[in-house]
Amino acid sequence: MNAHRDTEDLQDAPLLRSLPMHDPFVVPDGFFDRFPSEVKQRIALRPRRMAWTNLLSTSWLNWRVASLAGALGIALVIAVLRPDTSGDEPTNLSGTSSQALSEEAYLESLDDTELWALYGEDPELLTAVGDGFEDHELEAYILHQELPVELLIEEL
Amino acid sequence: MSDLSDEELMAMFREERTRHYAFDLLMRQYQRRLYAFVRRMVTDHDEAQDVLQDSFVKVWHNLDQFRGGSALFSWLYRITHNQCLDHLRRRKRNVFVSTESVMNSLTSNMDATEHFNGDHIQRQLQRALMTLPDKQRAVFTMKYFEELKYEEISTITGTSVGALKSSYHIAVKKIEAWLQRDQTKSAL
Repeated sequence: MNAHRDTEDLQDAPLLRSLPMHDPFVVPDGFFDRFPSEVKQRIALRPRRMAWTNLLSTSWLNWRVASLAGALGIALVIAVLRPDTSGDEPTNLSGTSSQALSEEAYLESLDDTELWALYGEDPELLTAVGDGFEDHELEAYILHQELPVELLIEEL
Repeated sequence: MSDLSDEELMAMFREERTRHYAFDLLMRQYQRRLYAFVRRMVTDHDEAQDVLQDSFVKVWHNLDQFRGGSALFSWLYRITHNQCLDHLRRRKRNVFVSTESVMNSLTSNMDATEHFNGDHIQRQLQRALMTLPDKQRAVFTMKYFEELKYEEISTITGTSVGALKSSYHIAVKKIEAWLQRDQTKSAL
């Protein structure tokens, strides 16, 4: 039972410094003999994962997979919600259908970066235009994206 | 049988034929030191056993990923340390049970000699230890009882050496004050 050797950090702690190095905890007889077998029994109930799932368990890859799944999910939502405007006039915000309303609600829930990502816009151009915009103005722009940016800037 | 080196153990583990044997050796080589750490952290034997089992199951599933950047013991210690903190966090997450009652239940059987054979001051030291926040208790345990170097603790916990020194210094002051208060009370 040695006293603590490393006393540098214990200069102001005489009680801690004087305590003997002794493990006071009692372990049941034979515990350490049985322990490895008990662990192996548990392992036998849950076999090792395949190598590819081990790879998936790394946080880096999890993050990548989650990002990819998120992007695909958003793209799918857009594909479902986006009205087919081919050959039609641009959608009028004042005369919105229920589909257009749900798209508006969805767009309101996104931040600027997500909006740029969704519509695959040129971020440099949009950042320059978007800096001075309110959210409803940005939404209006996105819903009228067929209009030239210059015209929108003039109007705003 | 003398302990095998990390390289020897890992070489055996990578061979399908000797994988289970290597893992058995690994557990026998490190279980006592890791158990001592976990027992200090949770006090109760059954809880310590659960945490250590969970840790070794994780080791089994992830040992392939050990690349030898640090000592195998540090890597095992890191898994056990994280498992310990997760376990305590789960215990305290129960909204119907206060943190204090969790700590009381963990230390409740310390008075029985079949669980604890230390003297009064050692019992009080463990009680004082259980009043520390979990991460600080881990740092104190590794430094004071295990006498690990700050650099090793830094590898295990992912905390900077400066922050560890500060945490240990505060823990020492708290525990010393706790023990002194207890001595004063006992003298009255």
